Amino acid sequence: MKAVEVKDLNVFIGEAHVLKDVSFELDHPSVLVIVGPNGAGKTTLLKTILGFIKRSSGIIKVFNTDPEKDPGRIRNLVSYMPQIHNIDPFIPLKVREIVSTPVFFGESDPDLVDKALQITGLEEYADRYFYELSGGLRQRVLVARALAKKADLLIFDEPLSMVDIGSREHIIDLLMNIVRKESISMIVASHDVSHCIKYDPYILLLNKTVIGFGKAREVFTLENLAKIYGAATLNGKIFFMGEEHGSSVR
Amino acid sequence: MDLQFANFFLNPFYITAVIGVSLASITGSVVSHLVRFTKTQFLAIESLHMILAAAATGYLMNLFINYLYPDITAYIIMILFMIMVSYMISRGYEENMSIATVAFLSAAIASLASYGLAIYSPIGPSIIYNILFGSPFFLRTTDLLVSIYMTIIVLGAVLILWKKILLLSFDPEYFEFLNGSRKTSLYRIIVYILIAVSGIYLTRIVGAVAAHILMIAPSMTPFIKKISVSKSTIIILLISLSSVTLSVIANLPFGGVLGIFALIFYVTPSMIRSVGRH
Repeated sequence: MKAVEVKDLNVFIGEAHVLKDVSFELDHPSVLVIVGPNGAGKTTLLKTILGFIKRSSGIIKVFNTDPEKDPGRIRNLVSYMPQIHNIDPFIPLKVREIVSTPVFFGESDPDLVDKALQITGLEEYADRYFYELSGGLRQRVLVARALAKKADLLIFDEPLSMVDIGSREHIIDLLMNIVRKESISMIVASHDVSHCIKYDPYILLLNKTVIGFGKAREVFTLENLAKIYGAATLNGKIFFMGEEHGSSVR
Repeated sequence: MDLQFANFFLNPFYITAVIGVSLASITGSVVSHLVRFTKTQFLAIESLHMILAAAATGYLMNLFINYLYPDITAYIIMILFMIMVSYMISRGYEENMSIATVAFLSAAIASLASYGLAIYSPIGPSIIYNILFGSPFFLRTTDLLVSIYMTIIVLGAVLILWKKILLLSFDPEYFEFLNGSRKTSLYRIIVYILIAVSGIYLTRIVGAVAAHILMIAPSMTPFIKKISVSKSTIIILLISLSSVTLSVIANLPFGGVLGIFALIFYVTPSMIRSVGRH
């Protein structure tokens, strides 16, 4: 069974051609990490899979369902964590209230909230306001909220931004354990793939179009990396210019 | 002296103003938090044109069709303005651009309706003055009753929707993910309508200018980004009641005193802190 099927996907936002002829298939259960520079279309791809953004052409199926035609079924099947940058941290909500959001809207069971708080190590912060937490803890709250909803597919948009290096490994280990234990699929858009590699996920190298898709050893070639990050040669050596974003704390 | 003191506080005009202004302050404080959470400050500010247009048109239509109660007409026009804003947003226009477009239209209507009032009614200019600056000391019993009903309706609606509004403001994208885009848009329209309806109701008591202060100031209390609604409501209530009392003692318009107090309390500390940082 396929968790996600994307075929010849094209997305325009205004005049900009954001995704060009994107195609890939993801078996269920499995893990996919979408890697690419800023503006590569990672978030757009996730939002198109969720049905937030309308595709210009192509086919998308999530567990054989078209997200634009049946968004209700997609909501039942998928849990989602958007980027933390779109959040207003000063809204007076407590950790438990945020993690309980899917329950509040009738999309989950209260038991899952306690389980999600326990898994993410947030039990002691449950009655604290979100604005009182550090960047890393805030990120964990959003992860817990995503886990508090029943789903066959988890979609995470930059779950490691604003998280310190030690916690990054912890979050990825935590997610991978859940995915394995519950036999569910997961798609993660991230700049930092290093903590995921040991779990041998599928990698989608994206820079508006698919540069490479497959296991890490097949995809991470110098040619592919040069295509997405740009590279300069000097005396026969290849130099990559790295970038980091999402580390600011509001 | 004691008798004079008692007479002052038992004066029916003063009591009327105290009741009216208290109701307006409580509603204004809650709406002000709604405005801050949903980041609709631009709508709250631009609603001045819409309030003037709606109120002036309400009075003008009442001149020609007696049974059309001016406030009811004003509420309907305000809701229509908000539906226009929401429709433009749903058609893909930016929120601020949609608000500005409706504000231009309402500015034109406000000018024409005010001109009409001045021409067709001998008391037209005083009606316009009343819309702008209000008359909390001359509220009739029916006005007070309407104010009580409106306070209950607005606060009741906000109370019922409070958690949903907080969750929508906290993470609009996740809210849309769980509720779908139509339901999310519906909640936004409800927020707009609550702000609009409150604007008209506050204008009726304290005038459009003071209504703006009450709809924006309480949630911008300088010491806090995290102040609770109850604390900021108490603060604005104290400021408003002090303004009413001082306006009687000094024989100054309520809106003017409230504006000066709000400036001193809400803006000055921020400016002092900002100067301190540089």
